[in-house]
Amino acid sequence: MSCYSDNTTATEKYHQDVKRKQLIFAGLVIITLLLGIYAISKGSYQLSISHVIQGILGNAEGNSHLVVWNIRMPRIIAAVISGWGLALSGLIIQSLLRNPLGSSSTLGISQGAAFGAVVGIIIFELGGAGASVLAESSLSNKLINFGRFASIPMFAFIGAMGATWIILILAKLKRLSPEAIILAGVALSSLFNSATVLIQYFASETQIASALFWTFGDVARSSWSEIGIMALIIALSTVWVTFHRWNLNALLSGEEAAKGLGVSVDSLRIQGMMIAAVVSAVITAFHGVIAFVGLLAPHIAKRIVGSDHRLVIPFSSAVGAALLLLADTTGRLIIGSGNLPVGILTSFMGAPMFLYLLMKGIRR
Amino acid sequence: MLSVNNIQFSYNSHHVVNDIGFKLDKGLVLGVLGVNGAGKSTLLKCLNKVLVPHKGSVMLNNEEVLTMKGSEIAKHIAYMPQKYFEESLTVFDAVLLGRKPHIKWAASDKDFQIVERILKKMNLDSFALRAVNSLSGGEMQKVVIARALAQEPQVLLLDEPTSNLDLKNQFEVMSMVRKIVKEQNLSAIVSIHDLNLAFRFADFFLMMKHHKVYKFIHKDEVTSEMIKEVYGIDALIADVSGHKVVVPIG
Repeated sequence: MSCYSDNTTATEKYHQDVKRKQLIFAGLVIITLLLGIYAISKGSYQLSISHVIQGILGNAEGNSHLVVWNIRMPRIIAAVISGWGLALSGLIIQSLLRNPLGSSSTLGISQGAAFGAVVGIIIFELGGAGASVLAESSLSNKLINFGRFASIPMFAFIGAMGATWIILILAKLKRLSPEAIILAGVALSSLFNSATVLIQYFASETQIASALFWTFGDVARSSWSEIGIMALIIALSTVWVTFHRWNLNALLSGEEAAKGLGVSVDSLRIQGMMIAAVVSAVITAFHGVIAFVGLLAPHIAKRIVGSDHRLVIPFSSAVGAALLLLADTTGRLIIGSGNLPVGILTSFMGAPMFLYLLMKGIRR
Repeated sequence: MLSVNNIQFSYNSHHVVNDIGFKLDKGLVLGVLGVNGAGKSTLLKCLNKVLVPHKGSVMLNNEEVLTMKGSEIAKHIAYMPQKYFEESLTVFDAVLLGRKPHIKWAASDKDFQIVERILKKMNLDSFALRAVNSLSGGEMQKVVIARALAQEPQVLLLDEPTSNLDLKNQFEVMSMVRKIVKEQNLSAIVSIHDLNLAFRFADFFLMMKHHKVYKFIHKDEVTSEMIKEVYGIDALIADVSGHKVVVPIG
């Protein structure tokens, strides 16, 4: 506070503080952009920065154009969009449930997606796996016929939304408290994990390998059209959450205080949970399980800018994008042979970072 | 003028608030008294639809409050719950949140001017950028009252605003509430356990017994018998330095 003169009014100090935070945000966006350019330039086929820029602008030809637009750019954009979406989803869940442990993983949404994907891979024999142990039965043949029109992301999405509906129906019918919703999510996660293991028990080794590989979250899987679907859903969700930023701020003081300020808490909670679930379901469906980004990014953002949702929404999104891009680039360039799935690295990075934040004290 | 008529609210067919009615003029503080579980907090929540009463009406200047939307009610009635979470918003943001019912998209210059004025009035401007959860209990209570004032309400509903506060802060908070009510010609309904604070800072008492109104009475007319009826203990009402004090003698 010492940088302000004594004559400065509270409003002036406030605006100066907001401006300072906006500058930090701009810095974060620039760092993410630079990291993106660096990530495009590096790999088994090295590109100079000028080639990268020419490639981005569409002026490069031959291999450079191919590497930029067909290989690296989709992966980088997918990492940025997924990080943004997972962070947004985690922030919405944490804010609505007033619980720092809220995320798609703690609510069982990611586990529901994994279960759906495993059903698709093993029972419906998607993903090029070998014959199912159930393949001899007539029921299984019918299921397999249906499966020809389906895809693993579709199954994963259905699994994730199934988990969400179970949670929402329980919350609505039994009027569960936010704490009880998290506990129900933990129980549901365990149930989906058990069901996943049970299906794997009856599967062939090839199918198990295929299912296991799917659960390693990997942003290199999605096509441009899939990236487009994710971007649209996440952009619409960002509009929703931005529209409700004042309501989410009101909820920080608790339900009764928020109702006193005119917030329809029940409707906000149902809408928000649904949106957060769709965002994480679509990301998990296309990329597999990417742990900790949704949990961690909002906490890092709150450490930088506090809890005001007018600031923490863009900050969380930017931190999530930067985190996932950093993790993917690190896995691609430093650790792996160029193809280490980012989900493995986020779990490795995420757990100690979360423990560190816990020790420093969590901000709601 | 606030006119509350036949308010009834039940949990699982058990009447928590039963047929409550009273009228309160502007510029007055009403203390809601009664034992734990008498229905004081529930009554306050029914007045601005934090809980939707099953029966009754709440008229504010001849307009029915209970048919208004929540955001419209919040422009007229500010509510301070008994329990609220210690948020990590800055003091400025926490008070600015009181403008929420009036803000359509972004806070206007007028909103910032109102917040500035209230922060100054309540001596909160020096720590405008501090996080609310880093403040003392008394300061935090002031922030919540400041937020309520930022709503520019006609009625303040305060649910046990002095619980968890030390003697000095209890006195400061209640003095502030009374001063604001008188200066701005508001009505305040305060549920309160401390009878001495109630005698000092309220004008009228709504005494609740078994979820109903036992007495709606001016504080000067309260007798020991009434206190015995409501709280079940013998007490003396004495005059000390011009202020009424209640001394339990049971």
